[in-house]
This record gives sequence, structure tokens and C-alpha cells, in this order.
Amino acid sequence: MLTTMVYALLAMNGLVLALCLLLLVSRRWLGSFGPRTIRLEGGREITVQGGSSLILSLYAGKVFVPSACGGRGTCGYCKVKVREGGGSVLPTEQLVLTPAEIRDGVRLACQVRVRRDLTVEVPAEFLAVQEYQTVVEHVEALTDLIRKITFRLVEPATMAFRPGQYVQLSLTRPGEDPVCRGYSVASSPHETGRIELHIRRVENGIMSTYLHSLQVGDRLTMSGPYGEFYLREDTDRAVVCIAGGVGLAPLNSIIRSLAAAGSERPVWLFYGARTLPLLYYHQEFVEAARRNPRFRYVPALSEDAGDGGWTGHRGFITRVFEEVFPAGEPAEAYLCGPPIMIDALLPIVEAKGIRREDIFYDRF
Amino acid sequence: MNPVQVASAATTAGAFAVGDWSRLAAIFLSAGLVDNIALAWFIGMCAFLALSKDTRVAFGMGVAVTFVTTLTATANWLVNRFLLVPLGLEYLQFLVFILTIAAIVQFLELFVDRHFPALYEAFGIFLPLITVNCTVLAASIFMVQRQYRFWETVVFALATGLGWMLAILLLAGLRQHLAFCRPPKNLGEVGTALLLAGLLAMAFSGFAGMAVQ
Repeated sequence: MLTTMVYALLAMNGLVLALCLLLLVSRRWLGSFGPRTIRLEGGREITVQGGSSLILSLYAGKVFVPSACGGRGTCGYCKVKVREGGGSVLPTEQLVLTPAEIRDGVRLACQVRVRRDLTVEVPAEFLAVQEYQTVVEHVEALTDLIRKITFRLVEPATMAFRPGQYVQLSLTRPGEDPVCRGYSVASSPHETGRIELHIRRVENGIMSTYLHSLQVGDRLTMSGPYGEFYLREDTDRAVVCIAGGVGLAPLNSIIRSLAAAGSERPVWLFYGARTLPLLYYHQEFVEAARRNPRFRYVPALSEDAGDGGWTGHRGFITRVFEEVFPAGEPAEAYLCGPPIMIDALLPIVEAKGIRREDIFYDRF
Repeated sequence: MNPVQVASAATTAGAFAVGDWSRLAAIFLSAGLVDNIALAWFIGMCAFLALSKDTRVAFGMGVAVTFVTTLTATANWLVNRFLLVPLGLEYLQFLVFILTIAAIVQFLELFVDRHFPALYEAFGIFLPLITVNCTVLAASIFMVQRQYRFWETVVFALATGLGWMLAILLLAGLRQHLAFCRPPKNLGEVGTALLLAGLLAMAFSGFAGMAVQ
């Protein structure tokens, strides 16, 4: 009996020890890649310990590449061009990248591991991205699901962004992978030091549920600005904004920024929601349209019961836009809403004589 | 079924003999089709359901499972034959098998990553998922229960892995075609996949006539 127990103890411990030694030794010889250099366009170099993912190595060098999926390779936000040393494209990347992007050397930074020295081309807008410490300054319920949260920037104290761009919030929970989500800035860049976000609570959404629990005075780290969806400011053409629900946020930023700059450009806002309570900021836009003849506001309700005295347009915003907007006016279009709305709108907007390259959109 | 009571044939002399080729072929067919680990035993379900949305991913995972199952079952056979059985420690089989599997997978990931980057890119990302894949452990347990000898174990483990790969590739192919039909919405994605797996299992039960004991 005793010998059996001794044998068992010896055998188990011996085995565990042997396996641990094997792993330790192999990790020593196989796992460490030594220092590797990441060369960025423009001559900047980051020296990192090889072996981890490119996105984390870039973070170590204070280059913030956006990521919404936490490095699992599904969101496709962290696209960078790897010129040298990236190895071949992984199956996980092939699900996200188009064949043209793969030919062009585009990779997902979260999937590429730093094995050799790398030469990387990071989009210029990512290089401008910084990390900001913020404090919640104001919380307000806009609808039963949407909250307006205003953050005051602490360090750095100002963010240079273009109206329409988004910031990324990250949430670290003990024992879990960090969660990152992007939210469009709803305030204008003229309101220095403030970032206003409209957060719609998503059922079982980790980040949106957390954000809805924030109180005045809570601290949060965000990075930004990100995104190709922003107001083009080099023309005098009319600005046509079409928003569905909480898609108003970036367009609100565009409209407020144009107003603050005293722009002479004609502005249209087509704003659709299901019912009147969901059409937040409605009163503000009605007032603004009354004061400013260059701002035209066209709201529409798709599910109004007809008992609330709504005298405006009814139906989907796509159809209302088609009816109301005059064809042939020189304009740029900014669309933000659910994908199905954007897909339905694109041909209609083009049919009104707005060129495809002058239509900007943000699906969420 | 109790590992303690198994007086393994593998401990007798000639454990390394190839023996009868037709028996090896029978084990191969049996483990791959008749006793398919995924569709007859419903083992290894988590990866089976989670990674069967796309055939390329399913293929990578299949290759990884096949590779690791073969390697670990072989290693576990050696550990069992030369350590556990002589010391009368068969009751530690579960624990020891899990340990060796975890260590081998870790080692393999490091090794393949360093020396075979192309191979690593093909299936390396799936390796960490495999440490806790039931198919791998099941192959090691079955080879003891069924008293396989060395080469029988190698063939059995290889066929088990290939059988799992076949099953996940079939399921992934079916799931890719779900876009063309409308399964009951409330079933959810995984529910639909389970339903498909059940149908596949029914189809595979057609192989039962070929049973080899």
C-alpha cells in the first residue's frame, strides 16, 4: 500500500516536473524572438520584444490602431499595410480582407505576429490618434434607450477632430480580454475640451450597458479621432444629412460645427425615427430651422399611431427624402443609420444627381 | 470500462508488432466512419459547433486536431505502457493523459511557430484551442479501453482525427449553404448547427453495417 502511494507520488511529480522542464527549456529556446524593429513610414522606428501581436507592439510605441473586437480578427478596424516581414495572410484575415486588399499588402494588425523586423505603413489618421483621460460631466436620457453622455477631456485637454469622426472607448475587466467600442462624437470640434456621445443601450451589450451605468465624475479612457466619415470643408455645396435613429450623432456634430463656424452652406437634415419620443433633439432642430433659413429640417416618423398630432412626414426616411429633396442641387450627402437604411438610400441619393464620390456614409 | 480493470493486451510482448494489416485497415475505417468521434460519439462538440461556420477555418482546425490527436495518443500509449502499467498506476490515466496533452500542445505551438512558420499559419492559431478538445483526450482513453497495440493506436488516432475533420468539413459546408434557406429563426445559430449535426449523424449511422470489432 505504502509503496503504491510512493510510486504514484513519484511518478506524478516526476512527470509534472519533466513536462514543466520541457516547456521551460523550449520556451527559452523557441519562444523568445529577441528585440525586433518596426519601421513606420516616415522613418520612425519602434523597438519591441518580438513574439507578440503587431497591434500590441504598436500600442507599446504609442501608435493607436483602432480595434473593436479586442484582437480576435473579426472587426477589421486594425488594417495596416505590412511591407516586409509579415509572413503570409492567415485564414482568419482572409475572412475580413478583400482580395484587392490582400494583393495590396493590407493585414490585420491583431493577427500579424512580430517574428522578424517589420516595415509597416500605418494610415496617417491612426498616427494622429492619441489617448485621452476623461471625466463624465453630464448624463442625460434622450430616449428610453439612448443616453447623452458628455465627457470633459482632462489629459490632453483638447482633441482635434473633424465633425463626423468617432472615438474609441475601452473597458478592462479583471480576468477578461479588454473590450473596445467606437462611438461617433455628437458635439462639434468648436466646443473645445468636451466630447458628447449618444449611447444606445444594446441588449446584452457589454460596453453600452457599462456606459449607461456611468455617473457624473466617473473616469474613462478614450482614444481618437478615427474614421473616414467626416465633413468635407473645401467646398460651398449644400450639405445633406440623412439620419436614422441614433445615427444622428455624427450628423449632429456636422450640423453644429457648420453653425458654429458661421458657414454659408445650405444644410438639409432628414431625420427619421419610429415614433416622436425617439426623435430626440426634434425641438432643437425645429427652433434652429426657424432661426436659420439656410437650415432645412425634414423629420419623419415611420410608426406614428396618428393620435399625437404629428403633422410632419410619415413613412421611412428613404421615401421622404425621395419625395422632398429637389434633384440636381449641387450637394454632398452624409448618411448615418442602420445598414439597411444606407443600402436603400445609396441609389436614391445618386438618382438625385449627387455623385457617388460625394456620398459619405457610416453604417452601425 | 473501468481503466483499473483493463489488463491491457498492449502490455504483452509484441506490442510494437504491426501484426495484421487487415486489422489496421478495419480500425482505420471503424474510427473514421462507423465510430466517427463527432457524429457517433458526439465528442469534441465545442470546437465542432464553434468553428464550423467556414470551410477554410474548419479545415485548419481539422488538420490541427488530426495532428495533435495522433501525436498525443502515441505519446500517451508510450507513457501508459512504460510508466503507468509497470507501476500499477492505471488509475492515474486521466490525470496523466491530460497533462501530457497540455504539455505537448504547448510545445508544439512553440516549435511549429519557430521552425515551420508556413505550417503555423495554416493551423497554428487553432493549437491553443485544442488543449481542451475532448476528441484528443477521448482518443487516448479509447486506445487504452480497446487495448490497442502501438501501431493500432497510431492508426486509430489518425483515423479519429481525420474522421472529426470530415465531420466538421461536412457541417461547415452545410452551414455555409444555410444562407440559401430559412431555418426556424428561434432555433438560433447553434441550434440550427446541432440540428444539422444530428442529421449528419443519422446519415453516418448508415455506416453501422460496416461495424468492426
